[in-house]
Amino acid sequence: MDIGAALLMGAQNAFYQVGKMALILIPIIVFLEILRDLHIVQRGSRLFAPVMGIFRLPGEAAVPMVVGLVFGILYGAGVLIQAGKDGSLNAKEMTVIGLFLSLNHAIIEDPLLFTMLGANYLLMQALRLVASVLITALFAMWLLPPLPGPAHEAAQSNS
Amino acid sequence: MNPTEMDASRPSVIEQPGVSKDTFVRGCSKGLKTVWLMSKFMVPLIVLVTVLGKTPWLAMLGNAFAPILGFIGLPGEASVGILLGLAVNLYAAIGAAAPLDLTVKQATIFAFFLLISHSLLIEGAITKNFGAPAWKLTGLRLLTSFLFAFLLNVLWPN
Repeated sequence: MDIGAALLMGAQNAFYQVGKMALILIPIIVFLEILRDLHIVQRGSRLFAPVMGIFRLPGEAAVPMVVGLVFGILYGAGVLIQAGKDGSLNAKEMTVIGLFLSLNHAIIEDPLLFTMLGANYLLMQALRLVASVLITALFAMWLLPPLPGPAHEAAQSNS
Repeated sequence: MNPTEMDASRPSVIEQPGVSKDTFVRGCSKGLKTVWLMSKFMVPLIVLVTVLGKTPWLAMLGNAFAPILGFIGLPGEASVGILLGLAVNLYAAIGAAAPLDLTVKQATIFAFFLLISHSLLIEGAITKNFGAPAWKLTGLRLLTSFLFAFLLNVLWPN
């Protein structure tokens, strides 16, 4: 087989795959811009505040966690660094959030790109969620002290 | 912290939420820019892998990596995509894997592996800001990728 025919086949394949990718990618990015401008994720993330206990984290951790999960590690890092400056999260808590986000971020854009290879979105993202929650919870038990009980917490926030 | 500094650092709290024409224009322009960026990675790799597939070289490279990747249920030829995904980005990985005709199981394992571990150089630099040593996080990502990809391969009936 001559190289010319292989090159032509490659170019045709490339054209087809880039078109397929554009059809997946552009609507997703527009959708993410809409989410961002509606501030839905920032608001909705507060619903996840009680779940943060799995990682021995305070409720304040929910915003950087969920924002990074949806929009990606770069955007999440921005929110996280802000939380660090505010003093609402300490260095060890930020490490635990960073660990979680390094394993699991941009859960809409990145995995949907892989569907063009035939991969199963739900399966890969569910396994990624299980893996990241498991590993992060384990490391949190080692890195962070147990959270105080609800009564103690209320007393602390009053002081 | 003075008030102007606060305003600059947290614009999302100050801005009124809402969607306008600007949202769609911004989304489309970001989308097109991303498609352009991704085609710069994907096009050369799709052509390269398609041409290499017609020579014995891709198979030779595949054979070299087959023992490691066979462990997680991937063909040796997928090594090009895995290595490019780890070192460069997901677009390069998809470009290198697109000509391969992976099965659903193989594609899902390939995707899972790279979703946990990818762009290790760039993201390693970003995660430095989180306070953990970048090389420890990178090592942990690779371990998690291998461990859970192995489980997925073993538990998923062929």
